[in-house]
Amino acid sequence: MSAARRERATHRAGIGGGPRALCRRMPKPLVAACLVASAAVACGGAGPAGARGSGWDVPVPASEPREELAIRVTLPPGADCEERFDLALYEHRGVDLVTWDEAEGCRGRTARIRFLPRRITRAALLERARQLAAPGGMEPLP
Amino acid sequence: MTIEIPRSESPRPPRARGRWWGLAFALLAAVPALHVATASGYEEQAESAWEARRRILAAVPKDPTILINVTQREMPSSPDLLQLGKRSTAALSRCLSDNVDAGLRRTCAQMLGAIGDRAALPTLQAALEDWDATVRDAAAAALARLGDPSSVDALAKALTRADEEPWVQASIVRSLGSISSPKAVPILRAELRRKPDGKRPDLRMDAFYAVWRSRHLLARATLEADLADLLRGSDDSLVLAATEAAAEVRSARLAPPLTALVDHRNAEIRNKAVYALGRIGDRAATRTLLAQVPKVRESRLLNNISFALERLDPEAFRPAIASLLKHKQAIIRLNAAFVIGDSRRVEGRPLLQGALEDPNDYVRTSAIVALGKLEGEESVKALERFTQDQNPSIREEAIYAAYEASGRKATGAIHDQLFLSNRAAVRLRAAHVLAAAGDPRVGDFLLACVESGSCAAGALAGYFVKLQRTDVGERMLLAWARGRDDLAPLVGLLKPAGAVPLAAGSVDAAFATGGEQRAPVAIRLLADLGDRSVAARLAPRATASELWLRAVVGTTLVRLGHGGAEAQLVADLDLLPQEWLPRYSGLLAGVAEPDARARLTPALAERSKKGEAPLALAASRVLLEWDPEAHFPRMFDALATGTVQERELAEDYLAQAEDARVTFLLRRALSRETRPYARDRLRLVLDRRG
Repeated sequence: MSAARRERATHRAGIGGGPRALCRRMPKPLVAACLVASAAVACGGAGPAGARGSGWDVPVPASEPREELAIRVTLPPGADCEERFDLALYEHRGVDLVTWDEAEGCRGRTARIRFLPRRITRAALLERARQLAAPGGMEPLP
Repeated sequence: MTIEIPRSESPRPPRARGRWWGLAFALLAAVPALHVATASGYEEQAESAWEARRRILAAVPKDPTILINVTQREMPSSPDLLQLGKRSTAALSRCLSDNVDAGLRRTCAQMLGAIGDRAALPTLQAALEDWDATVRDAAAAALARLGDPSSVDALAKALTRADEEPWVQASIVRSLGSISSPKAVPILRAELRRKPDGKRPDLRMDAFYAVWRSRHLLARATLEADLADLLRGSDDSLVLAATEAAAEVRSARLAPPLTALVDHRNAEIRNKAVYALGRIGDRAATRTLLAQVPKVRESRLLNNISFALERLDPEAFRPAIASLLKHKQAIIRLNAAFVIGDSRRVEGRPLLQGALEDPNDYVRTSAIVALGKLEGEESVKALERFTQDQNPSIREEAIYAAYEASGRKATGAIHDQLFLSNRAAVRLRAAHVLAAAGDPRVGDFLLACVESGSCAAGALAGYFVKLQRTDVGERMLLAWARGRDDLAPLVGLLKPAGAVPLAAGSVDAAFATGGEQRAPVAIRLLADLGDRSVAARLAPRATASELWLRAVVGTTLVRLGHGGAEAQLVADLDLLPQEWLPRYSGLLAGVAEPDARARLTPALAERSKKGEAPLALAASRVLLEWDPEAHFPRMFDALATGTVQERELAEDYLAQAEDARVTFLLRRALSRETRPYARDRLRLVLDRRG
């Protein structure tokens, strides 16, 4: 079996794919760049909107830009409504810090969400907050 | 015939005469010794016990041998020795190894534990072989507080001695659990699995808590297997302890053995098992819990079952709780209403509206309070008619419930119907609620209430500050000057005219009359008032011999911008007994002035990164309070990856941190955390913060 045929067979069988296999098929000058790209993927440097990260909370460098979004929100009722909202929102690594007003309860609360615009857009964040709020219970504040 | 010879004239035999000469020589020979004894007795009388203690205390930092020959009479008091901190380690170590008085050796071991200086480790480890059991016990307890892995071998060896007292063995087991060594874990697990055989003491409870404290060293599956075994055991104490642990571990693997405990004969175990099942959230337990509902005979268990069901299966929970609202016993109906309110789910509103028609006043009141927890216009409307109820208790609760359900908006009824009532208790409660809402109409009432000592000033401080009335500060100052020390923080916030000279005079008077116990309150007040002109007047007090007075003066001087005071504060921090670090760091955390914080931060940051864990975390605690975001990672790292000692200290400091941002940071950490033990601790801290 020729190398090219073997490669096609491997490809059909669904094994040996991925960046490394691709590198083997590349001209040598591109291999180094390919390896760097592979390493970046392995380290989580790419990926959808920075939603994933390490298995725990890690500090974001102070040099990374931050923006803030203020919302008035009514939360799905429950004894721990505020915490539930926070835990769900923080699953996206683009959310840096959620701070709440001093009021209690689940209705008409004000939250300030600091986020990392390189990882999540304002629109995507608003949409996420809308999904986590009670139906029709979220409005951005100026 | 016999002739009697008068005794006085009878000649003494030569031997008897010689004996008297012997006695005389012996007396003469004893003269020097008698002189020494008399002289030393005279000296002891000349130096009082107080003077002897002072002399010895002064020598402790310089002379490591000074405590070898001291007696109980001469031994300085423990607080005095602890004030020297690590400067007393060497002398206390020699006391532990060389003093012949077992009571003193025990005291010295206890103080070495409180100080926490690792230099004492060899002496404490050797003291596990002391002749006196109480000293061995104190040494084991001290080693637990030091938490150093180098102690494992000595502790393990001491545990195996057949002639050791059972209570000392228990102390050793507990110590092994606090030193974060993988070598200790198999020893502890073996002790936990050892069945009582009458030959060896039953140390399983101590072993359980020791393993539990070291749980991060165990594979999660191993811990779960151990807990499952204990839950299936027959020893109630161990079952209860394992049940409490299961609520924290929250593994589905523990649901079956916990389910088997929901009708345990021991009420405490039943309740904890149900609670743990609720925390685990395994729906497989639903059927068992539902089966308990009709049988339940205690409110606590009913509440636990209800909360568990509400988490496991809300759809199954509602019919069950609805049936309880129709229970023949009013107390059950009352508790059912309470549970629906605490769940805060609006689906429960129709059930509560039904309970508003209950013939029993208590059940109706419980339903009213519960409705107040379900925010919304519907709740307010349902409560409206009860705000005019003939029963004053129902009327009062309905007004508060309507206020809560409206999102704490309308205070009119609280003022008109409750605050203007002529019943003192009703007025007082209303006044506090109105103050929380910032209503100025209750200002005079609450001011008089604080002055009379019937209201706590701390809870009303924010309200009084917002009132912006000069007379409030003046009256609080007057009350403080008359001896109400509890009002000092409020005076510091309100800063009334004349407070600075009065507080400064109060400090001087306290020192002049020997009443130094009142001085710290006035000194702190001077710091809160923030008048820098008094710093020079306070500065001479910065060298006070009493550590806590020195600390209060030092923090005040730093807050008032007096140069150089921070060096003394940090020097004291470095030498402090580890037992005192939480209090001392709390004092430093109270420094609010940005420039003072800036001057202390470099030294604290340096200590937070290196050095012994108690000191490093005390420094981190101060920085966390000052800037939660910047310093949370250090504390979080200790909580998630530290030793037993570090994890427990970090848990306490994070739970006690006053800034609300710490809660938000903990939530972020919990949301992203995948390490099981770190998740457990984060959950625990969040629960403690409430």
